[in-house]
Amino acid sequence: MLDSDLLHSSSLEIQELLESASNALLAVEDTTAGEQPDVDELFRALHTMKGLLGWCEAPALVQATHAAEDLVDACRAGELVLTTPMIDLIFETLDEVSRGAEVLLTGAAPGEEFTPRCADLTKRLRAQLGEEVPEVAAAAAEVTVWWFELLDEERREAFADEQEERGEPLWAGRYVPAAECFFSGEDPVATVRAVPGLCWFAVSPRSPWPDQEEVGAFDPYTCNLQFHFLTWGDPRDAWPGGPVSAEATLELHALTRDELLCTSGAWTEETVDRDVHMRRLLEAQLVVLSHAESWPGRVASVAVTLKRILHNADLPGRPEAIDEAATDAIEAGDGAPMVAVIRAMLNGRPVGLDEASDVAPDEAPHAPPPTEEAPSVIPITAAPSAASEPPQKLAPVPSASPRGSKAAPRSPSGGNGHSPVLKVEQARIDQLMDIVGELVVAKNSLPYLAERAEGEFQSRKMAREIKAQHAIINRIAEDLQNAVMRVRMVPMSNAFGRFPRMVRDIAHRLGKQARLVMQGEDTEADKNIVEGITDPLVHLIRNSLDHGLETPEVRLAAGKPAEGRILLKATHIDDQVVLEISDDGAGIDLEVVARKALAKEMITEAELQSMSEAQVMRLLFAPGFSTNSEVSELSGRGVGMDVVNTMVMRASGELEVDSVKGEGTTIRITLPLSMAVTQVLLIETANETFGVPLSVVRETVRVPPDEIHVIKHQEAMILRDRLLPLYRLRKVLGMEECAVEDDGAHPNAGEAVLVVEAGGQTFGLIVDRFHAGLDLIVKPMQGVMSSYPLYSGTALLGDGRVLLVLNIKELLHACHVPQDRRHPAPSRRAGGGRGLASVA
Amino acid sequence: MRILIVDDSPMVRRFYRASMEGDDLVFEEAANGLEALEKSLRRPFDLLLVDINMPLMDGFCFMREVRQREELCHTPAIIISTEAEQQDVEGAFQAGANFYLTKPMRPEVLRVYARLLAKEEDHVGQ
Repeated sequence: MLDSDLLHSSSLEIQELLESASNALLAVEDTTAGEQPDVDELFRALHTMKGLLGWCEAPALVQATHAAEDLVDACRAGELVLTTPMIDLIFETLDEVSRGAEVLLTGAAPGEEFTPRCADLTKRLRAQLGEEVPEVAAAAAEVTVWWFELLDEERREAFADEQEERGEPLWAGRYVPAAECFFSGEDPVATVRAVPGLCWFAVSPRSPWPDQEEVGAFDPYTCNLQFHFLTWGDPRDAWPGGPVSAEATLELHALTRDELLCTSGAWTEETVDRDVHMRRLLEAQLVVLSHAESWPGRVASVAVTLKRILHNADLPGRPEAIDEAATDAIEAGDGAPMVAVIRAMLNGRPVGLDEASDVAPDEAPHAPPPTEEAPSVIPITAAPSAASEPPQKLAPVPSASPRGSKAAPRSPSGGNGHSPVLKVEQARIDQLMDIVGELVVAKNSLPYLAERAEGEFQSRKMAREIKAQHAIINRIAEDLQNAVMRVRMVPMSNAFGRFPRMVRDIAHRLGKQARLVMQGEDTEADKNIVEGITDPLVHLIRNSLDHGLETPEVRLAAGKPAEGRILLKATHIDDQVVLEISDDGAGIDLEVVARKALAKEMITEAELQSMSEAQVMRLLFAPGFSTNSEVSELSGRGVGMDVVNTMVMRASGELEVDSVKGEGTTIRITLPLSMAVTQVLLIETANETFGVPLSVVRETVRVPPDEIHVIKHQEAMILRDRLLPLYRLRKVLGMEECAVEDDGAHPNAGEAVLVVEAGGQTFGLIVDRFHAGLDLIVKPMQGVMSSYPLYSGTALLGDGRVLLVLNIKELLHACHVPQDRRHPAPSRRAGGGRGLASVA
Repeated sequence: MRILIVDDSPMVRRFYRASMEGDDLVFEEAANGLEALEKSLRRPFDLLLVDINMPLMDGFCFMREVRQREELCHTPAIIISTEAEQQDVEGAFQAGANFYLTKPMRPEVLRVYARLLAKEEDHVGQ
C-alpha cells in the first residue's frame, strides 16, 4: 500500500490524465466519418492511468480501464471504429475512475464499492470487443479482496481438502441486507443462518462504526451489517427466505481450489529474496542473447550486467573472464561463450575456470537457450504491500525538461521545466490575503489619526508627518495587494474545462446537435471568482442547450445549420472580466415573457404598457419566473434565472441578457478581476454614511434646486443635453422622515447628485453630502442581512465603523418600482434599509 | 551510480525514486525516449529504467538507439511497463533490454534489482 501522500499525488495525476483522455475522446468524436481518428493520445492517457491505478490498489478500476484501453488499442490497430456507444462507455469508465480519484485524494484506496459498477463496465467494454467476461472471473476480484482477511490459512486448507473430498464447489458469498431491513421484520442473521450448506460466516460493519464523537449521529435502526459466508453448493437453488427485499444485495462466487489456497489475497506476494531475483536476471540474459539485433551492443550490455551481478552477489570468478567471453562472442557473432558464463553463474560455479564444459554442443547461436523452465521473466505483479516499508522521504520531482515534447500536453510538474513552479495550498494564500486586507484597513486609519493630530492635538506638523508616512505605507500595501492578487489569478479554463463534455452529454440526451466554441480561456481572474462563476455558467449553458437551441429539424426549417453553436467567450475589459455565453438558437420571445409574467401576476397590464424591452427582459430574473412550462430534467430543477442571477451576484458579477427572437441569445456576465479590494466613494444621506463602488460612479455634480424638473412625477435634470432621471436616496431607502441636516459648508450649492451607471442605464442619486474615496475590503452580506439586496456588502472603515456598500443596480431596480404599489419586495427592502442604516 | 528513469508519468518516476532512495543513487528523469536519449548522450548513465508507452519516442525505439551507439550500448537497461503480454516481453528483449518488470511492483523488488545491477565501484546496499 502506498502511503497517503503518494496516493494523493497519484490522484492528482490521474485527474490530469482524465482531462486529457476526455479531451482526446471528444476530439475522436469530432473526427469526420471515414477519417482515421487520432487515438494515440487517448490510448496513452488510459494506459498511464491504468498503471497508476494498479499502484493505488484499485483492481476493479484497473480492469475497467484496461478494457477501455484494449478497445482503443483495437481502434488504433484499425480493427474497429469507435462508435458513439463505445465512446459513451469510455466516458463512463472515465467517470468511474474520476470517482476513484476522489477517494484517492483522501488518501484511501477505492474500495469494494467500485467493484459492481466496474465489473459491469468491463463486461460491456469487452462485449464491444466481442469478448466475453465470465461471470465468475468478474466476481473474483471482489471476493479475493476480503476473503483472506477473514480466514486463517489453516481453515482455508481444511476447506480446500474438504472440497476435494466432496467434489463440489465451495461458494463464497457476500450478503448485504437492506438498510431498512429491521423495519420490514427481517432478521439478517437468521436469513444467513438459513443458507443451505452454510459452513462459515462472519459479520462486519458496512461502513466503519462511528467513533465516540460521532456516535450521536449514528442511527441504530439502520442496518450497518454485511455478511460474508461460505456454503457448499449454490445457495441460490434453495434458500428459504433468501434475500428478503429487492434492496438487499447478494454476491456469489464459486471458489476454485487455487483461490482457496492462495495465501495473500488479490496480489501475488513478490519475494524480496535477492537470489531469486538474481537467477531471474541471469536467465533473462540468456533471452537477451537469443536475439541478434545490434549484436555488439547487446553482448556488451550483457557483459556489464553479468560483471555487476558477479560483483554485487559475491559470486566466484574473474570479471575479466566475462570481458573475454564477450569479445569472443562479438567476434564470432555467436552467444555461446556468454551462455557458458551465465550457466556457470546460475550453477554457482566460478566464472572463467572450466567454462568449456558448460558449452553444450547443441546450443546454436541466437537460438532461445534451452532452460529447465521458461525464462523467469514472469511479469511481477506484486503490489507494494502494506508490510513494505513506505518510502519515508520523497525526493521532489524535478521538472523534466519538456524540450521537444511540445506535441504532448504535459502535467504541470513536467511541463513547466523552464520556470520553477511552487505548489502552495490555497489556505495559505487566503490567509495572506486576509492579512493584506487587515493591513489595508489598518492603513486607512492613518488619515483619521492625522485629522485628530491636527484637530484634537493642534499639531499640524505631526499631521503632515503622519500623512507622509501614510503615503508610503499606502504604496507598499498596494504593491503587496497586487502581488498577492496575482498569485491568486487562475485562467478561466479552470471553469471551462468540463463544459465540452457537458455540452456533448446534454445535447445527446436532448436529441440536439451542439458545438461549444470557447474563446479566451486564458483570461485570468481571481480563483474565487472563477470558482464562483462555474455553477452559474453550468446553468446558463444548460439553459442555452435546453431552451435556446432548437432541434435539428426546427433549425433546418428556419434555414439554420442543424448543429447549433454555443460560444463561450472570456475577455478582459479594464479591470473586469466579461464572460459571454451566446447561442444561435431561438432567442427569447419577449411577448412570451410578458404573457407569462402577466399570468403569474407578477406585473399588471398597465405596468406592462409602460415597460421598456429591457425591463421586460429583466422579468426573467424575477424570482419564480421560468419560461418553460414544465420543469425539464436539465435546466429545470427549480433553478431559474433568478437563482443564476443571485449566484452571479454572489461572485460580485453582473448579469445582462441580450436576445433577438429567432437569432439567438447572448448572456453577458461582468466580473471584477478580484474580489479583494474595491474602491468605494463615501456618501452621506440622512446622517448615515454609505459606500458606492467607484466603478459605477460616472461623476458627482451639484445642481441648483431650480434646475431640477419634475416630469410625469419623476424628478429629472438636464446634464449635457441629456435628460437624467433623479432619485432621492433617502426616499429610496425609506428614510424620508429623518431631519435634513443643514449643509453649512455649501449653503447655495444645490443638491448633491451622484451620477451613476448600472445595468446600461445612467441616473442621478440625490444624496446629502459626498465624502472621500477609499480602498476597502468589501465583504458580502452574511446571515440574515444577506436578504437585503440593496446592499452589496459591508466594509470596515479606518475609524472602526462599519460601512454599508450600496448595490446600485438593485437600487435602480427599487427606484423603478412605484412606491405606492402593494408589492412586498420594495417595501421590505425600504424597511430593511432603514434598519440596517441604524445598525451602521 | 547514476540511474536514468524514463517514464512519461511524473508520479511513476517519483515512485521509482522513492523505491530506491537511500542507496546513494543519483537519479535523472526523462519523460520520453527522445529526452532520455539526449540526456544519455550528454553523459551516459549506469542503469536505465525504461517505460514502453511514451509520447515522441517509445521505450523500444529508445532501447534500439542505445544499443546501436558505441558510447551507450553497454548500459544495462530494464524495461518496466504495464504490459504483461508475452509480445511485449519479447519485444523488450528484442529491442535490447536486459530485463523486464511489470508495474506495479513492490518498492523492495525494484531496489533488489538496482542493488544487483549497481556499478562495481559503488558498494551499494552491501
